[in-house]
Amino acid sequence: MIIYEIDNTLFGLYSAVFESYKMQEIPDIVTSKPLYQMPIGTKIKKIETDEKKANRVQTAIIKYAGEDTVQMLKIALKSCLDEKETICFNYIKKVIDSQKDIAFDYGDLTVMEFTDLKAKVGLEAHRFKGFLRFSETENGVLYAHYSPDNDITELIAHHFKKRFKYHAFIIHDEKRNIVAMYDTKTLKCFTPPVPLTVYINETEENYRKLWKEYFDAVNIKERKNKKLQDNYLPRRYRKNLTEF
Amino acid sequence: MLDGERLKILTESAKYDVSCSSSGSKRSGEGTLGDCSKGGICHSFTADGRCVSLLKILLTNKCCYDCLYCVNRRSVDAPRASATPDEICELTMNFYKRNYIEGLFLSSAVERSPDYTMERLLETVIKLRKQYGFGGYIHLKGVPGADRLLIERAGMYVDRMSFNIELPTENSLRLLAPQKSAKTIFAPMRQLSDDIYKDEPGKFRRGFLPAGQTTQMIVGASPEKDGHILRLTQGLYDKYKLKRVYFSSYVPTNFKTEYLPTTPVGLLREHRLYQADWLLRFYGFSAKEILDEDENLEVGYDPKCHWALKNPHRFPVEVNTADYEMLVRVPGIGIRSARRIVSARKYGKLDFEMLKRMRVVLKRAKHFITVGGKFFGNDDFRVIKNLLLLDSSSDNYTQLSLFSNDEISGSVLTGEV
Repeated sequence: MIIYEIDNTLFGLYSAVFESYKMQEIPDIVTSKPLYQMPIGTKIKKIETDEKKANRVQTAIIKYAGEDTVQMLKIALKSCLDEKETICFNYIKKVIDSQKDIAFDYGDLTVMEFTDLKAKVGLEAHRFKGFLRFSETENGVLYAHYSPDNDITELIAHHFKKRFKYHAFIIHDEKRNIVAMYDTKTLKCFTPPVPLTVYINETEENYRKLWKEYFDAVNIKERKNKKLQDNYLPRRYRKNLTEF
Repeated sequence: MLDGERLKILTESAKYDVSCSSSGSKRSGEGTLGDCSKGGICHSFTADGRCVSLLKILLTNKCCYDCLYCVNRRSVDAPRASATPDEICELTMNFYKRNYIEGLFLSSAVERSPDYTMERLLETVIKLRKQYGFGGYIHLKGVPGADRLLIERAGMYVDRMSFNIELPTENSLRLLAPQKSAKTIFAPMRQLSDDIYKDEPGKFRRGFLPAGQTTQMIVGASPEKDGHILRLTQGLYDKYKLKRVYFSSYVPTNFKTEYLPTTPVGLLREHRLYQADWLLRFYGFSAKEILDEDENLEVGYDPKCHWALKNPHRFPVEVNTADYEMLVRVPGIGIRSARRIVSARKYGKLDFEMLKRMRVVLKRAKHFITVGGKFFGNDDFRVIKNLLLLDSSSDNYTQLSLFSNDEISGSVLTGEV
């Protein structure tokens, strides 16, 4: 069994693809998090990220399958699944081998795995556009914190920039300690150097209460369907929702 | 500022208007806060599984009408409350800022007169747009009988408007909601659908009602059959170009009358109507194909499945060559699967394994398709019927038994299955 160890970046993945073609070998697993329990006979190869080699791979991908594919790869790599690099690696290899855009070849296992991986990230991003809850701080900045499964902060920040226009906001991924910050002019994503302290405005409690009351009033008790609610709104998302 | 008690009253009265979507409008918001996203966004889900995406509220529930099915009827002693336009605007802006909602769904009981009520509603939405600078989604209920100029003006400020048909026939309307009339409901719908295309036929008028119109009717309060309801629904889509028709299951109030049933209609009926509505809008079916005018929808099968079983001569279809319109009619193949099939077959011939990967529901579909000429389903038609029937009873809405369907109970008695 051959395992490629890469750093957690897209260009790291491209470097692995380059290595695979150069050495004429196909790794069974590509990962940025090597496992400690390995079966006997496993060979772990650490792949250095090389910008020149990686660029050649990206050029080939764009040539055969367009810029969109690069965007799709970026999204897919934000997944929380351990297999993400292996799935993306297989997809890139298939694009280069077949020299065309394979995105719609849904009958193929590699394509479906990649499509599903990307879709899971996209779905969570879409859901959090709705589930993210902001609080108003003392100086008027809107603050939201959450713990998503996947690394979607960059994906949703742009949506909120359009929505909030002239209001500053901060979106804080507590799990990964990543922050998206908008000061009404520019949007930046980064890891805060110091832990955040947030001072919530005193009117905030009132609006939270009103929202809870609204939510209770909107329920039609005669039509209770817990299973359906759990399906749409998984329980692990509820701890940051004001109404639960 | 709106207090909790009034919010509760005005929300509880509004929730029976089931339209919940914040979709259909792609506007980059003018104003200082907010925009619209084409697909709509669900912010939360109630205990019954409905999506919460708008602040759905009445401006007032003091009504001068006396519709028999309504909890806020004039002659009922219910707690009454009103809100001011400023209170509605303030609440909307603050909820929106905190990402609790996509926008506002504003309705009202008919206070004093249709014109007076419509003026107040209009005042609120104009204030929300111009004074408060709100750029998000607004769905405004129209008051039947209000002046046409008020309605036209409203269309310039909101994303969607709706006038509720309430009941499927004029007779029922006359009986249960005597102050409303079919004419006062359909005239503004006609007006708005004309206005949307005012400048050029076939082209949407810029900025006027971008998310179109919808309507709602109550199901189970009056004796009309599903076949009639479905034909009416299709007519509304064709004639007024509505975006959506909603069905609201009748929930009995405390008021007992000979004209209304005392038990609520089962949710399964509403569910089947929505399934049939989906067939009309996305699957290319006509109401005539689904069922006859004086029939109700089948309880044991979903309408698409039922059509397939009624039309065995149209099957099996070959997955590699059948056109999209026929593929979506196969039970187990939905819009997404059909699109995948049509895309994937450009890369090569499809086999059974590949269909499985695309997540076609082969348990159902295999009885209606061939894959590369091979048939993987069951030959016996009666067996197919039974398999599909038991499958759909996992909907869990009604307790089906082996004897609840005449055909099955007949076959059980004779020992054949």
